[in-house]
Amino acid sequence: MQHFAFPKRKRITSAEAGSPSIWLVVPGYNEGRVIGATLAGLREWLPNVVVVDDGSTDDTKREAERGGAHVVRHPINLGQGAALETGVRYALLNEADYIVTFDADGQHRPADIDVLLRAAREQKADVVLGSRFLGSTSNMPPSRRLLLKLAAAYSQYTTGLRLTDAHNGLRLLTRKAAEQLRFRQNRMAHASEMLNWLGSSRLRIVEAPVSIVYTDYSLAKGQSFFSSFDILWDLWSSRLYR
Amino acid sequence: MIKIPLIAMLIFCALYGWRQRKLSPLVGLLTPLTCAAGVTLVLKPDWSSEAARLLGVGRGADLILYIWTALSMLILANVHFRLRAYQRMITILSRELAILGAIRPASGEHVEP
Repeated sequence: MQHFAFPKRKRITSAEAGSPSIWLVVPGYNEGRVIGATLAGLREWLPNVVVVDDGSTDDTKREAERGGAHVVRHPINLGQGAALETGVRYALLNEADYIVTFDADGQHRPADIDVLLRAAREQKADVVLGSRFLGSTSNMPPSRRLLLKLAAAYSQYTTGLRLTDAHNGLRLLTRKAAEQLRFRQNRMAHASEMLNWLGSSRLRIVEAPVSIVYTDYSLAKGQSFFSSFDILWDLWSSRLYR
Repeated sequence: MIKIPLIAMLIFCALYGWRQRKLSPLVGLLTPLTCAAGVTLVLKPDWSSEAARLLGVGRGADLILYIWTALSMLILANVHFRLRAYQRMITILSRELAILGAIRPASGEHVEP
């Protein structure tokens, strides 16, 4: 199957001459309770935020609009991977030079966006992956730590990338990298798929230390141990078809 | 007489599997091979016991059952892959609709495509 190419559109906004345009992509599904607070923290740092409402059945869209974000809404729930790609496409249409992905549940620190940007500029990286194990975590359950360590080891084995954190939602893509992004995995397997893509690409990839604050809300929304079996199935079975 | 409709069905199944090779090379290769084994056993039922003994699966009837199971699994896998392909098309369509209906901050206006 050929990848879809969007038709040329009129520019919606344009970056100021000489200054890079930085966009934040926040995918969300039924995040109406927390999206307002997350956006309030982000708007202090960056003006360009797009929330991708992944077919929520609650008031995520309304709260995102109130929070001052661009809002793109999937008509049906497709999954976080699909929502991220939609947000990235939207940011590219808005002439983004840097795109940062940020979870809606409030577990990331807005200040870490600057850490990613500095890493991209100073190390001339195409992709910067946030690492909670180079930075810090609070309230992280031991079972989650074990699962993430296993995932990082598996990703290192399958991709050859020496990463400390394989599934952190806080990432930075330059325009060059974002234009190459194509997910086949709509749901949670997209994070592993992304690493497979990065491992086989010629892009320069670095990790940067970030902090993650686990809350009861983010833990309830997060992946269970059994989700990893679904992810593995999605990844393996996708090799059997085009 | 039952051999004729059985062989016809297996040939149809093999052709169907072969036609799926663009979607899944695995299904495209294994389905005709499995069907060929089925046709052989329909034409030469005496061979089933000998083939089963060589393959170490016990009786000839067991071998036929395994071939039938393998064929069913391949067709099931093909349905799964087909559904995934449709899901991808729905994703592309939904993404286009979402971006066409994007809302700007503050103004609440739809972004002009």
